[in-house]
Amino acid sequence: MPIAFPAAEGHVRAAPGKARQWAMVIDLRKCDGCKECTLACQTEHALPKSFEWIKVFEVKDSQGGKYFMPRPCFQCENAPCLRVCPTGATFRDEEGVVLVDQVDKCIGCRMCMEHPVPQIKGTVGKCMFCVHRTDDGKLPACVEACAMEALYIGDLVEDVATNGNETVRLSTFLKENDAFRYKEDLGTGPRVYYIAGHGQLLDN
Amino acid sequence: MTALRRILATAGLVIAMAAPFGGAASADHVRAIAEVKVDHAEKLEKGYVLAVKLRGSDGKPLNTATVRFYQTVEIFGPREMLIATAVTDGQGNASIPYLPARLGQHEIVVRFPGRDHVGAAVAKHTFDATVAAAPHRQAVPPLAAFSANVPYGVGVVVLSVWGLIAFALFGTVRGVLQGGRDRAIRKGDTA
Amino acid sequence: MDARTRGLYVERALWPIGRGDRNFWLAVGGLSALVALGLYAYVYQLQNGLWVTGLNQKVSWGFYIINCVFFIGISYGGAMTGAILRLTNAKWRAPLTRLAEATAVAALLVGAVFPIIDLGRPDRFINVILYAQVGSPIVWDVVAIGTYLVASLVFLYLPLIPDLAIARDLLGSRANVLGKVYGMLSLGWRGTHAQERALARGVGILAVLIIPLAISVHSVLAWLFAVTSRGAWHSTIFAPLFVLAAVLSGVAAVILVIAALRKVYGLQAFITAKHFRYLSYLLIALGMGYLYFMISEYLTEGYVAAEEIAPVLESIFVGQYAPSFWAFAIGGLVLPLFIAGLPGRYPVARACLASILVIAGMWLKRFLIVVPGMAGPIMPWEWGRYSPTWVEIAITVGAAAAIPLMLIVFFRFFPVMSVHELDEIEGVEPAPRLAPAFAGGEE
Repeated sequence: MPIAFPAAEGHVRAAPGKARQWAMVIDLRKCDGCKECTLACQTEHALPKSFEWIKVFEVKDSQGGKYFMPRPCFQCENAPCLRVCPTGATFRDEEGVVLVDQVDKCIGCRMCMEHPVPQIKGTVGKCMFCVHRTDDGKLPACVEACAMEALYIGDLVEDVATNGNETVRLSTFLKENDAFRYKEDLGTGPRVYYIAGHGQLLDN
Repeated sequence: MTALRRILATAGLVIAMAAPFGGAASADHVRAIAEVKVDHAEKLEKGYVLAVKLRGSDGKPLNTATVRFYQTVEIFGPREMLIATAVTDGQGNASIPYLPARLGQHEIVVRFPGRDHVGAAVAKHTFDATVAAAPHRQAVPPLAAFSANVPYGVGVVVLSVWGLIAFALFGTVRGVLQGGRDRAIRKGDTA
Repeated sequence: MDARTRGLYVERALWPIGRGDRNFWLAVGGLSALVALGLYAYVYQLQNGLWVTGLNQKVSWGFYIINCVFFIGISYGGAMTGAILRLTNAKWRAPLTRLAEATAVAALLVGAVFPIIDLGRPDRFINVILYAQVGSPIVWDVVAIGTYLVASLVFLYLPLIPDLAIARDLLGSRANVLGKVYGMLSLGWRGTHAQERALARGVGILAVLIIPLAISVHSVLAWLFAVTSRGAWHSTIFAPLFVLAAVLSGVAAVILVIAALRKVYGLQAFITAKHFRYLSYLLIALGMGYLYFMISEYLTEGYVAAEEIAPVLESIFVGQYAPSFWAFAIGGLVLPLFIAGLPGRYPVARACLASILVIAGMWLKRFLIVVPGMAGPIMPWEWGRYSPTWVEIAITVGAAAAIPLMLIVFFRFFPVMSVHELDEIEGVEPAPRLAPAFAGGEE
C-alpha cells in the first residue's frame, strides 16, 4: 500500500526492494551540539523553527561538565504511541519505522504525544527516519548533515551501520562501545542507541 | 542451534592478489602480499574463521602487522563494513572469528595499510555463508497473545449493555403503548 | 401528603412551562451571549488551528481535556444522585430526581463535545469510527461516553412519560402545539397497571445500569491518562480517584442547580432545608473519601519519589503549582466539608457555598492532574509551559454557560419535578385526566 507523506512533498512510498530494519546509533562522544542535524531535518521536512524532530539537548553530567544529546524519534519496537492511536494513523512500516498518516487518518487527538513523542500540525508529525530518502538510497538528512559523523543509520537485518563515511558492524559496534538505549527499562524497545563518553550518565 | 541457520558447509576458496604500489612508493619498498582464507569454525554454529597470511614479495612473513577485515555491503551505496582488526603473528598469520548476519554471498576484504618500507596490500575473497547469526526479531509486546483477546470480552459486555438499554427503552415504550389499551384501569382514573 | 399540597406541587412542577418573565429572558439572553462568545472562539480556532490556544508541543493537553473531565464528572454526579436515590428508595427524592437527571444530560452534552474541540482535525472525527483501533483509550472513550449519553437520555425520558401525560392533560390552552408533542411523547399514558409495570421495569433497569456506566465513563477518562508512560499519571488509583472526584463535583453541582431552580421556580415548599442537609451529608462523605484517595495516591508516589514523579510532585506541593494545589486542598476540599457539615443555621446557603468551593476545587484538581503531569519532564531537562489564551477561556466560559441555558430551556418545556414519582412514594394513585388539581380538587 503506497502512502504519501506531505512532509516529503508528495513522495509516494514504493515497496522497498530490500528488507531493512532501520536503527540509529548516536555517538555522544562526537556530538558537539552544533544542531546541524536539527536544521537539516527542518529543511528536509519543511518544518517551522519550533519543530525539532531531532532535538539536541544540552545535558549536565555528574562531573559538572556538559555534553549534548540529540534525540530523534526512537522508533520503538513496542511503541506506546502506536498502541494508543484511535484511528491507526500511526503505524509501523515494513522497515520498522513508526510513521503517522497525516494525509488521511490522523485526527489530531494528540494521545500519542502523551508518550515521549512528536508534535502538532493539525495532525501529528514526527521523525520518520527519512524513509522517503532511504527508499531512494539516500542517507537521512540528519545523518548526512552531521559534520562530526556522530549519527549512524543502521540496518538490523544486515547488521550494519554507517555515518556516511565509516561503516561498522552494528552489533559489534554497540557491544564494544557499551551502547545503551534511553529509558530502556520502559520496555518500549527503542531502535536508537547511544554511545556515551566518560562521565556521561544519561539517566539523571 | 535453532537460532542458527545452517545449510551445508562449503569450503572457502582462496583468492589472493597483490595491491599495486602507491604512487609515492619508492624503489626500496617490499610489496606486501595477502592471502585470505575462510574456514568453518570448530563449532559449526560459531560461523567462520577469517584468516589472512601476510608476506612480503621477498617471501618473508610480515609479523606484527595490523590488518583490517572488511565485508562489502550495500547500504546507501557500496561500502566496506569493518569487521575487526587483527595483528599478524610471527608467521604473518592473523585470524578472526566471524559469524555473518545473513546467509548467502559475502565478500571479505582484508586491508593492510602498509608500513615503513612495506607497501599496502588488499585481498578479497568471496564465499557463500551457510551459517549465520539469528536474524533480528521485532520485539513482541508482553502479554500480546492475551491482550489480543481482551477486546472480544469487552465487546460482549458492551453489546449486552447496548442490548439492555435498547430493551429498557423499547420495552417500556411498547409496554406503555400496549398498557394504554388495557381494560384494567387504576382507580382514580376518570376516563 | 394532602391533596392540597399535591395540587400545589403539580402546579409548581408545571409552572415554568411556557412562561417567560423578564428574569427568564434576561437569563436566557445573558447565557446565550456567553455561549455565542464560546462559539465565536471555536470558529476562530477552527480557522486558525490549535495554534491560537496555549497548547504546545510539550503541553499538548490543557483546558479542553480538563473541561471534558470536569463536565462529564458533573454529569456523572447528577446521574448517580438520581440513580442512587431511586435505588435506595429515598423518600425525599421526588422533587430532585428530574433536576439531577437533566443536569446529568446537560453537563454530559457539554463535556462530550470537549474532546472534539480539542482535536486538531475535527473534520476527521469520523475516522475514530471508520478505522477504530480497539487498543486506543480514545476509542474506549467514544464507546463509553456514547453509551452513557444514550443511557442518560433514556433515563431522563422514561420517568418523564407519566409527567408528560399530566402536562398533556393539565396544561390545556397553555400548550397548543406543545400539547401534541406531549401527547406523542407520553405514549398514551393513563396509568394502567400494565403501563406502571412496564415503566417500573424500564426505569429499574436503567437505574441499575447507569451506575456502572457512569463509573466506566470516568474510569476510561482516567485511563486515558493512567495507561500512558508518564510517571505522574501512571497510577492504579487513577480510575477510582476520577470516579470519586466526579461524584463529588456532580453532587455539588446538583445542589447548586436545585438551589437555583428552587428559588427561581418557587419550589421552597417541596425542596426544603432537609433536602439540602441530606445532600450535604452526601457531599461530606464523598469529600472525605476523595481526601483519603488523594492522600493514598500522593503518599505512595511521594514516598518512593521515583525520578519521573518527584519533580512533578515538587512542583505541585512547593513549586509553581503550589498556590493552586493548596487552594484546592484547603479551600476546595477540607473547608467545604466543615462549611457543609457543621450544624447550625443557613443550611441551604452553606450547602451552596460548600458546593461552589468544591466545584472550583475539583476544576483546579483536574488542572493539577493534566498540566503538571504533561509539563513535567519526560527527558529530565525539559519542562513545558502552558498558559491558556483567550480562546480556551472563552470556550470554557461558553461551555459552562451552556449548562444552565440548556436546563432553563429544557424546563420551559418539561415538568421540573416528577409528579409521578411523588405519587408513587406517597402512595397516591391518581392518574388525573381532568383532575381539577389547580383547585385542589378531590382525588
